[in-house]
Amino acid sequence: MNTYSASIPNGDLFRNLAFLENRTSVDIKHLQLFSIYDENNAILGGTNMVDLYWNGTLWYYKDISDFSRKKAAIKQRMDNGVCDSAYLNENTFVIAEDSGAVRVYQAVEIDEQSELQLLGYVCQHDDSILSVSAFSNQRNIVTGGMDCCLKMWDVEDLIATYSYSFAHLDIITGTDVKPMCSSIFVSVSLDSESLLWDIRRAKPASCIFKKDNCPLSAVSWNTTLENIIAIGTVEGSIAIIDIRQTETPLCESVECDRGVHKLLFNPTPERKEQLACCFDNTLVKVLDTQKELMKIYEDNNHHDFVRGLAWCKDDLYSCSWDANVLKHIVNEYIAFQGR
Amino acid sequence: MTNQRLSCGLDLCCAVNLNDCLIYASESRYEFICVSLVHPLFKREFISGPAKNRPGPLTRPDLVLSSSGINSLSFHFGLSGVTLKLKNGINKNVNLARIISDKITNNNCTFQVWIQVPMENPIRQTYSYRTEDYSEDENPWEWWNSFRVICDYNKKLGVSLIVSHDLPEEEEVDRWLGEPVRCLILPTTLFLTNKKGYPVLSKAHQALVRRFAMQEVQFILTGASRYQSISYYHNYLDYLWKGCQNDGTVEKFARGYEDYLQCPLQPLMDNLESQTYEIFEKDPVKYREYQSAIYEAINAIVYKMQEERTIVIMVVGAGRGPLVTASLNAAKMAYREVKVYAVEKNPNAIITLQALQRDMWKEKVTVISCDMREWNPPEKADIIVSELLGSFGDNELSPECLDNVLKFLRDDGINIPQSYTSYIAPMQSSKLYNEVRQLRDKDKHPLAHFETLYVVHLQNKYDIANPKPLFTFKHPNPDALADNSRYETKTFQVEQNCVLHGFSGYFTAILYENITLSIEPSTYSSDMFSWFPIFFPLKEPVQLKAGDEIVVHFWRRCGSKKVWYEWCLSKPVPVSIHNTTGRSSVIGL
Repeated sequence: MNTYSASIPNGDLFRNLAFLENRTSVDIKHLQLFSIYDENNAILGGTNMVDLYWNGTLWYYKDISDFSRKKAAIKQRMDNGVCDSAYLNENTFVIAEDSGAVRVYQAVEIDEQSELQLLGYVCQHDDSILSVSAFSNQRNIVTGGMDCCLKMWDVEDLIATYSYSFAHLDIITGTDVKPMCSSIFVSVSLDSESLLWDIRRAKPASCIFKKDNCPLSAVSWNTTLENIIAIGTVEGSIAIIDIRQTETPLCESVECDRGVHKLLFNPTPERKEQLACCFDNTLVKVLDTQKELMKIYEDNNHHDFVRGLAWCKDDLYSCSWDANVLKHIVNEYIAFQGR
Repeated sequence: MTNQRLSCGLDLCCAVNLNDCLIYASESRYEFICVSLVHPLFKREFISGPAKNRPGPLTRPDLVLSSSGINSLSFHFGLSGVTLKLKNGINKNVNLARIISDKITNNNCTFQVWIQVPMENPIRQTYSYRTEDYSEDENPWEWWNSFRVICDYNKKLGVSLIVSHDLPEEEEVDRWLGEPVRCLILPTTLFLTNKKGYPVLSKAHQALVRRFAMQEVQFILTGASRYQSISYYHNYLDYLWKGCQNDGTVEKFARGYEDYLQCPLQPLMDNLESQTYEIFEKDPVKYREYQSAIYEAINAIVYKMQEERTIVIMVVGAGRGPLVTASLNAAKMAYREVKVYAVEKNPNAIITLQALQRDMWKEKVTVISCDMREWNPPEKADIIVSELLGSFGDNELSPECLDNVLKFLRDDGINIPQSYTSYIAPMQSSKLYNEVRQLRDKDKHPLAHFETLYVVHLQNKYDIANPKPLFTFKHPNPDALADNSRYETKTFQVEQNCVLHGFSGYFTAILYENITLSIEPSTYSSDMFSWFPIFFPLKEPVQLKAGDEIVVHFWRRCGSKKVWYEWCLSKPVPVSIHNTTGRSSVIGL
């Protein structure tokens, strides 16, 4: 490749190129995605962002008591960076890549060994996918990302049944689906708008939230209250929207001096008011959406940006670019506070 | 077009392994790749908190490229270009513009900045999914225009035009052709599949590529491949590009001169070089038309002639003799005896004329080594033939020269050319504006270059309105008092928002009756390459709005030793007189 230096004897001696060969693989620090199905089923993913190769790794866990990487049941090296994940059902999940591809995996047991089988792969986004959300019918997913395009997929045969190019004017930072429904979802974008989509309509989109000159960066649909959506902005504010009347948010407040990265409602019906949030810093917060976003829990133990959030029962888990996964006992904390 | 090869790059949204990306691209014959320097999802904390002290690098190390292969980083890598996307109007991008300006104004800046601009505002598509209507639909050209104005038209700033599915109006495409478009970005979603299953572009998109191919743009393919191999797209673009090669006479002749500023010739003050003569003698059209005109003129003279006599033709400014040859050929065609006087002031050309006279023309031709303005002819002429025209008609002082020789034309004699008219048209070309701006001459005021006219093979320009006739000169001059100074005012309508950088200039000439020469685009004498258009710059670009009126004033002013042009605007905004008193550029008599 380099004809010039190749012609000089020992020309590469001091160029330290040997480090390219026999390289031990780098431990991925930048944890990027996190999904927990139950105590015996979870996925964690990360991308190398500052190393020579920007590839990703997936870890599949059959026990969530210890998320250290060596405890993973499966470690799968990925050809591309990974951005987001969603479970379709107990054994099947979807991974969205920064290459614009969607992968569907199934965890299987072969000879008492766990393995990930690739059920499908398709690359139709023209830039990185930042968000994937799965409908409760276990068959349809929605993806959106840096190409400003939203796609709704049929996972069985990996066909994009709906594709809305330029769904937004800027990068789509988040999506989420309506619970117990297979046609309605929500999207947020750096173009400052949040749109509600109903694929059955000729004009599928309507604006449910707009904040002038303030890009939107996260969204979560309440899994129990089917009309409640939380939206986060790059200015660190969070708004709670009732989609039946979107004129004014139910409540809105600034929760951090850094942008919101992810929002996630607690799926446990008894804890439906709990909204977990992480930001472009080390903070993890849980807010009560029925009490004017009152702070229920706060943790600042990560050393780098928190990227992924997952609920399991009463507990919240977070993963970060500091390579750590932390467990947050939110509800004992409440009990403690109540005392 | 000088670049014979297609240059197409590949935009990769995620470059996991740079080496693999380069191999992948080059195996499919792409010439370059566009990748993020820093991982697109990576973020930093600059002010407070534990993440501020994050150890480790910002991005991957540079060793990967084994060096054969923003800002300080791109400089470090020796990258040729940095690209970024404009997604909205200037109200959201002023600070970005300042940052970019800051980097590229630095003299050490080696890279270009390509601003990605969509051809169509995506808001139309975004709102096609909604019941509401959008409030404003700003043309992305405005985003670009404001951005580059803030960056003071810096020439390191270029456009990467993102080609849209729906193409804008023809007029808007014309305007983009007047911008420094370095590259067309072709999303893979733009391509259709042909009967054989390969990617192709629609007719309209092909036409667009063809128009930009004239300006040597590069291409960037972006988006996921919808075919078995990414090389299919390149194969198609390569095929399309080869079909765009224009090998016409003028294109061949003008290759390498696109948008290159030349000072107009001053054949009165300077003696032309033999190379210059040689180039002009090769013009396949000009002398053919002259010959026809002389033939018609001979017939007209014969028709009116009272008694049989030899027709006298004087070729004034004979150069190395092409018009003498044309005169002799015309006489032969008309079966007439002629006597030709070849008058030339350039002593070097005289040597050639004398050689031709001795070996070929013999007694039919008399060579006169003299400035035509000082010559005293032994007899009067039936026909005076001259080719003293510049790209702007009168700018090589044909009127002044001919005024002096017409006294030896018989009362019923014919002057070829009979008349000529200059034309002007308002023009947008930030390329030419920058070419003028970078001219340096230690003896001249920097603004002097904006008060000079240039000969340019115009390519990267947008014609804001069609040319209008400006000054006309007739020979013999029918006016009682020969006065070659002129003053004209012309008004042009502006169809769409654009920028006025100056005026293009052309001419048409009536050689005899209906035999004409023209470089004015609507009547252009095809294949004629002797004249490129003229460019009159403006010191400051003028922002124009659709519906504006441009009112331009042009003067041709004459002194005893020199002639010069002055120009100014009175509408839509007044712009001061350029070249007042001929302080920056004159044509010497």
